[in-house]
Amino acid sequence: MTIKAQEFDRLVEKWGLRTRKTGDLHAWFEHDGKVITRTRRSMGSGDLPMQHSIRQQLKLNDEQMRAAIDCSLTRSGYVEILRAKGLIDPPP
Amino acid sequence: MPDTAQFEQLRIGTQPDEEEVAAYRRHTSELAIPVIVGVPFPAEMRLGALRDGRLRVVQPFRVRFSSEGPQVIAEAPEVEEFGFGSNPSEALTDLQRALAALYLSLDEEEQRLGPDLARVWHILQRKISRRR
Repeated sequence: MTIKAQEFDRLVEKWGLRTRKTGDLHAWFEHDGKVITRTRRSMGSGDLPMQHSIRQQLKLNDEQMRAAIDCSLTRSGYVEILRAKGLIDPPP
Repeated sequence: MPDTAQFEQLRIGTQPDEEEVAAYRRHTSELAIPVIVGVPFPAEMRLGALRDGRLRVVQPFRVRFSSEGPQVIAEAPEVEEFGFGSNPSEALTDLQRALAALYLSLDEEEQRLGPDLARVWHILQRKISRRR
């Protein structure tokens, strides 16, 4: 699958990822005050050359990544995926 | 039958069309030559510097090279970090920059890291030290 820069940015905004611009755009997913996952994209527009690495860094499989890009995977859905992987503690 | 220019295009940096290669071989009296696909680069290497004056690599990173279309990818699998470029040198430089940025950002957030990033930070601390 390909990811476009604007799709990445839309995902960042939808999930509320914290970002920092250096030479690239770095993005972190935080939950309950903890930094859980991170990824980055190169600056510029068009198709990103790093789809596989973005997916891997966000701890998603192909299907989940597609859902994230097409906006059907919500932030809470992503939290559940990370929780199932043991990357977020279960709710008290 | 493909002409020389078409064969050169096949040879340089693209996946060969096997039918055209076979057709070329059937119709030429020249000796068969290997078709070079893409730019040869090592499958794996050790990275010992980050191009950031603030940081020193004390334990090299294992780096794997691969390609995805026209892009070369340099991956540091131990910390799931990647660099990209049109050739291995560019990909490696991008990876070096990414590793330095990752180290510095995780250092800032050390007290707030989830389990996976804490694991990554632990590895980075073993492999990188700050220059005094």
